[in-house]
Amino acid sequence: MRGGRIFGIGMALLLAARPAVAQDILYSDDATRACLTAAQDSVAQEACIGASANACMSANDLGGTTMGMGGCLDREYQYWDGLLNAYYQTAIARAKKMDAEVRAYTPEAAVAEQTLREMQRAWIPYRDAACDFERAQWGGGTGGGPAAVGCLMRMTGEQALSLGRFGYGQ
Amino acid sequence: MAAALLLAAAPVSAQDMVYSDAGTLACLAAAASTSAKAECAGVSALACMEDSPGGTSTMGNVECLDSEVTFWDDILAGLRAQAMEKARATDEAARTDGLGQSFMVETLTGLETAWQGYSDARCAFERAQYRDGTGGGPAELRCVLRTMGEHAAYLQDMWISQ
Repeated sequence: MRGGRIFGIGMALLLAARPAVAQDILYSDDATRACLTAAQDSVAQEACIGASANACMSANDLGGTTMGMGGCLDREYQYWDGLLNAYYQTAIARAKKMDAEVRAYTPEAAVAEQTLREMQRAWIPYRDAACDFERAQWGGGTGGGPAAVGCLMRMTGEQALSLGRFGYGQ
Repeated sequence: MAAALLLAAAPVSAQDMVYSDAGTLACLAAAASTSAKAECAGVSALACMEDSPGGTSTMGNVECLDSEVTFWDDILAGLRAQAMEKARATDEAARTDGLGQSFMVETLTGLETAWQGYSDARCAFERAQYRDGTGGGPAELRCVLRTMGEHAAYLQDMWISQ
C-alpha cells in the first residue's frame, strides 16, 4: 500500500515532466460534445463539464488513480480551453459590431470590446486564485494535482460557455 | 397618459418599495445543489419589482436590486468570516501536527481579491452591452447579484461545508 502510494507520487511527477505519457490514456471529447448538443439551457450546458473526463476515468484501468484522474481531467481541460479561445474570438467580433453601431452617435458608450477584454484579463487571475485555493485544500497531498486540474477544467468550461452565449447573442 | 408619464418619471422613494429577503431565503433553504443556490440571487428583487408601485421602472428596478445586494453583502460577509476562520484553523492544525505547510489563509485571501476584480470587470461588461441606455444600471446590478450568489454558494459548498 505504502509502496503503491510512493510509486504513484513518482509517476505523477514523471507525468508532469513528460506530458507525452498522457497520450496513453483512452480519452475522447464525445461525451461532452453529445451532452452539449442535447443541453436545452445554460444550466444543462454547464452540467456537461466533466462528462468526458468521467468517461475517461471509467474507461481506463488507471482512471481511479491520482495520475489517471489528472490525465483525464487535463484532456477535457484542453477541450474547453480550445472552445474558450474560439468563443472569445466570436465574442470580440460581436462586441466590435456593437461598438461600431453606437460609435456614430454616442462614442463614449462604445466600450463593449474594451470591457470584454478587461473582463477576460481579470478572469485569468481569478481562475488561478480559485485553483490555487482548491489545490491548497489537499495540503501537500497528491490529490492536489487532480483538484487543481479539475478546477481549471470547470472554470474554463464555465467561462467558455458564458463567452459563447454572448458571442452568439443568447 | 400624462399620469403614466409622470409616474414613470417620478423617482420611486424607498418608502414605496415592497421588499423582503423572504423569497431568496426560501429559495436558499430549498436549494439542493451549488448551482441551485446561486440561482436564488435575484428572487427577492424580482418579487419587489412586481409588488412595488413603479417597481418595473428603471428606478424601481435599481431600488429593488440594491435592496437584495445589501442582503447578499451581509450573507457574503458572514461566509467570508466562516471561511477565513476555517482557513486559520486548518493552517494552524497543519503546523501543530507537523503535517507540513498549509496555505489556506493565503490562498483564500488571494481568491477574495481576484474574485472582486473579476466581478467588477464582468459587471462593467454587462453594463456596456446596454450602450449607456437606462437598462445598463439594472443590468450591472443583476450581474452583481449573480456573481455574489455564485461566490456565496462556492464558499459554502467548496470550502465551509467540506
